[in-house]
Amino acid sequence: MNPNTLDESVLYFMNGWDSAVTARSAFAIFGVLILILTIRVLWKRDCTFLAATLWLLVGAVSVVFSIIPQPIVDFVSATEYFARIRVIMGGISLLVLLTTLESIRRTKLQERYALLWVVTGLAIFLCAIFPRAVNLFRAVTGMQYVTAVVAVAFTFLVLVAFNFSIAMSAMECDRDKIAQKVAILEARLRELERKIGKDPSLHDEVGDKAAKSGKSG
Amino acid sequence: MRMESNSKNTLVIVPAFNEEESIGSLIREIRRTVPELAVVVINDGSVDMTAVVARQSGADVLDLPCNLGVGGAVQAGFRYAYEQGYDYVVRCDGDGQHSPDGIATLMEAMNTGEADLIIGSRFLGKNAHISNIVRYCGINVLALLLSAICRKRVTDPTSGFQMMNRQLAYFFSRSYPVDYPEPEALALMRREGYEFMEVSVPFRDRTAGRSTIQGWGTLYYVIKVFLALVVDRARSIDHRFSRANLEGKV
Repeated sequence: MNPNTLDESVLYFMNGWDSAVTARSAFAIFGVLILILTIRVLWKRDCTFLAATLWLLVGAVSVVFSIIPQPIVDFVSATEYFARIRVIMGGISLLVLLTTLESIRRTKLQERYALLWVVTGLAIFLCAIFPRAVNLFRAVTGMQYVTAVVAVAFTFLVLVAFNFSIAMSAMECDRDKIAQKVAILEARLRELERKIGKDPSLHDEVGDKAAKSGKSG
Repeated sequence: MRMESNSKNTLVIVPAFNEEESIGSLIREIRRTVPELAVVVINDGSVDMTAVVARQSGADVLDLPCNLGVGGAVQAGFRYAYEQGYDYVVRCDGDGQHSPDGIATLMEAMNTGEADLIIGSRFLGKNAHISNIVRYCGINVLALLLSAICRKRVTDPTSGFQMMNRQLAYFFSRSYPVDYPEPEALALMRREGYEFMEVSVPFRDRTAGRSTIQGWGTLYYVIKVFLALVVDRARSIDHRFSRANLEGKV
């Protein structure tokens, strides 16, 4: 095992884990349970593809990890820090992309707001696939790989937030117009009802009034 | 041909937010001083009985379903006045700071035909009113800046006691700033070629309620208004709403 690429505290933990048979068995059973439940739900087709994939992944990892920990540790420690970070970045970007696409599919999210999210996910994904591109960025700015990726992601997140501010302003503008129109129409309706001899106060929210007077008095 | 402001074609709008204690007496006072004018209270989503009290006092009420802030409330009034065909709008804030006695002064000034907007100023002439030294300084600095932008002396940039003609009411019903709107609105209308004029009106301390500009709100107020005034200068002028374009059309 290469101690340079795997932290000592992790090694210590892994050695302990190797001999903790009870804990490992419990963990394995837990993983199998997750797998069974997920497959059952999938069979009934009442969960989303994304959620099922995630749960299957969690179940599989916990089962494999509790049954054969040593080969996994060897495999992970054989890789460089850099490769692991790239895998994690790729995972995060895929998660962002999948969540966005799934939200659009379920019409929870409008495409125009999703656009920036998709771009954010793609940017991180490209950073994970083409570390050389990030290297260029790194050479220019003097940032480390992860810092560079975070900087790129952060930029897009700021854009996303700004996009929301604009959307909110537009919505508030619309809300103002609607509220004004409603108030004017209500006033005209009252006038009309007064003219045809109907008592407009019938429509006053009596409960509202009582609550208000109770609050102020 | 210009129409004189008279009882049939002038509407008094009173924006009010949680003013149930003072709104009734204010409306009765308006109806006493200028009995011929129609009064509309814009209830800006109050949580108290403002709308009910206003109706009982004999005013029409525009009952906004949610709180839009003073800009949105006043704009609802302008829109209503325009849609109902009024030629002049008097705005009188619901906190009772301005005496309705001043409405006659406003109408008189409006009937000279020299301006589209008549502002009832608290600081013009003898009855200068200093409520609080910080606020007084703030208002003066703002007044200086606004005077420079408008190329005309402004003494009371935050006055909520104004009268305007139909054209300007139409313009404001299309675009009006959201919060703390008065100084920005003045700069906006000035860019579209509208004229304003200040007259001295009587002033008294608020009878009830609190000023919307207090504490940290003051800081927000100053930053917001200055930012708006500066940024508005960088905007292109929307000639559709200019005085020249709307002349005789609305």
